[in-house]
Amino acid sequence: AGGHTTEILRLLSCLSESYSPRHYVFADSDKMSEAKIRSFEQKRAETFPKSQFTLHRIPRSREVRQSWISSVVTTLYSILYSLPLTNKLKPDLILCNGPGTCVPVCISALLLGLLGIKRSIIVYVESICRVETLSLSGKILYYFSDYFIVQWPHLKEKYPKSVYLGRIV
Amino acid sequence: FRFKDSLAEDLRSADLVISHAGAGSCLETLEKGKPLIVVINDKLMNNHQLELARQLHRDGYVLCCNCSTLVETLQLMDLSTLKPFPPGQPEKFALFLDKVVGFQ
Repeated sequence: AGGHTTEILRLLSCLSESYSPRHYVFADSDKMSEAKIRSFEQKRAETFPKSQFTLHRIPRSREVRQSWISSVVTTLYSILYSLPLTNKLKPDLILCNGPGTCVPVCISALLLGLLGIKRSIIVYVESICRVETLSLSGKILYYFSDYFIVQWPHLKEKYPKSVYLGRIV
Repeated sequence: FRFKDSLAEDLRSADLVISHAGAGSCLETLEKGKPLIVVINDKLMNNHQLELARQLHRDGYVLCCNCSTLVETLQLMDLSTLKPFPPGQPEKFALFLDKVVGFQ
């Protein structure tokens, strides 16, 4: 969604063409991300004509300030929905940066890993907006990601297992 | 206007930007090298949006005020005290990721 999409596209901007094909997963309620992604990929295709990407929409796991109990239910629903998708894509690498959408995808990937079906590397980059506290997705995925990247030194102190590379977007 | 696809044109021609504390607005403005005054909405006190605005202010990249002090801020502001905002470095992320996945 919005800011998250802009950030993640910046993160992708310097990646080599080895990171292909790219599968973008976002919330069905998100109206603007598709255009941003297509624009990014179109530009990329100018330098790398063999670029491949796909787009996938999944139900949004949680609305802003949605209650805890209903969030668990909607997140479970999103997980059930993303499990077949993650199983179909079998990504080698999952890159996410914080919208609630990423939690079900990562949990699906973790389940597939536990079942011995596919082990994906999960890299989480916390948004640049997060200077002092982690987002809810961040708090969850701090424990479940392989690499957890923060963009401000204060967070590195608070979350020692995180990686600090400075501002990367 | 309601929602424009991009504020890039407007930003390019602006001499001063006054904005809410949204990260996108702040960062886009700073990256275009425009002086920025961030107006903090007192009613959203616990909004995490404030974290970035506060940090940018601490680091000297933006001026901050709230709705009631905006006029005073505009009258007394000294934009030369604002520091230029260095761009982010996605290349560092690319290097890191290459190591992680084993592309060297």
